[in-house]
Amino acid sequence: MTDIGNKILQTIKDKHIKPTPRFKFLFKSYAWTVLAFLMVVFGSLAVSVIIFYLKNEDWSLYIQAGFSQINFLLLAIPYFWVLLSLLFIFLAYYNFHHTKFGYRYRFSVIVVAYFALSVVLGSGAYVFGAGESIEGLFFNNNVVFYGQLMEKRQEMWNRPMQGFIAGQIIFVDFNKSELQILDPAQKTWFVDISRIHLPPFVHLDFAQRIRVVGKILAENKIQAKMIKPFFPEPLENCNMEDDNDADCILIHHQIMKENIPQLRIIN
Amino acid sequence: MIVSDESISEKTDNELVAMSLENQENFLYLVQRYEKKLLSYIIRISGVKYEDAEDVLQDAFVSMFLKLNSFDNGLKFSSWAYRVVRNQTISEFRKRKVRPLQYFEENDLVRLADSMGSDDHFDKKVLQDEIRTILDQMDKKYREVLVLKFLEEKDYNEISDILKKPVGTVGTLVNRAKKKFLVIYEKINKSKI
Repeated sequence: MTDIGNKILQTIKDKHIKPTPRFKFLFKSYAWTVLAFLMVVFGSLAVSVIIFYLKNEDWSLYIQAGFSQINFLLLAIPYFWVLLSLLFIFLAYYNFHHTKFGYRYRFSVIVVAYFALSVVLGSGAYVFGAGESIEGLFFNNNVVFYGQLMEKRQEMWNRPMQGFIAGQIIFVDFNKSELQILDPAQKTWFVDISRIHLPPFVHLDFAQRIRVVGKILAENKIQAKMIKPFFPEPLENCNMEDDNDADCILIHHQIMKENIPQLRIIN
Repeated sequence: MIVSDESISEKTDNELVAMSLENQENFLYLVQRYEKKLLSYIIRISGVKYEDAEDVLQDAFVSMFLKLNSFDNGLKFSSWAYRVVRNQTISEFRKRKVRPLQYFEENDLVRLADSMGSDDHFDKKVLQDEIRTILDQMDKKYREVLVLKFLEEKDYNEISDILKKPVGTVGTLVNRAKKKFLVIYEKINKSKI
């Protein structure tokens, strides 16, 4: 028996050292793997919202609105979701790197693999409507100030001088073919919809976020040539008389609440 | 279960690990198998005295025993042992708040010089001091891979498992280390002229 060997064995005996149970190491290892997997799932959901944005973005409207190519690109990128998906990809890398043999793979290989996986899974999630649901959930509940961010985005789109108005519907009168919308600057616009043909997929609903392209007729009136929803978000389950109905959260938004007396559809 | 000394040499590391988990006395066989190699590794990467290196090694082996259940058969035991020893050495120097040095015996320096280039490049016996100077001037990360590759004679996969870096990165580090070695050597020679 070597001298050093003796000392080691003696220390182990004197201090009653026992090997740490295997389950503790297994738990740690599985925890990193599960976290890495969860980050991929979250990242994929964020990608599904990006796809939802890009698919619903009306590229021709941007060109009509007179945005420069750079502005056009800057406006079209859903930064919030891009940053969120990048964050999840980074966290997935971090967690994967801490798994038992995660260190054997290069940063670039892991990140590219995670990116590809997120795009594939995100596309699948988009097909099942995850992108739309998650966007609505974040906006309606103002998760991490998302609602405020989106209002800023609407503000950028709001360019009355060029005949572009963005806002939320507060009044619908089909008899007069007129809408009233509240823009992000809290100005009410009267929208003449008599000369437009609404495609069947466009449903005009209370509090719906829409974009109007048209000709300015007066200080607060626009003749619509085209109406596009920012996103489809029907409030079909909303009970207007119930202040606590979560389905009406958009309508109970402070700005909208002030206009509740006006909120009605005349057929 | 204590096994006769004759049959121990035939046992694989993994078998000895399993035996150590059954009976702590068997851990001694693993200690005996690796103590010399690991002791010289500690001295090479830290430059501590033999007695201090022994203390670090003892702590490292106790730590190994404690973590024995985390050892994975997908890894070579020697790679795992080198990793634990390396971490123990680094943490020892962090505790002391001093920068590790390195110590190479003459034989080490000749072997290193051999691995760096052809005989035209180095008059190894004469240039031992210069090789020490070159190693002093190199980054720790390059010195570390040179030690593992050319003195500990580990392959890229083993170095990858010891340092917990991808194999590709290890290859890049070894190549860069060799280049840096030669560049510094050229510089020293030019300055002499």
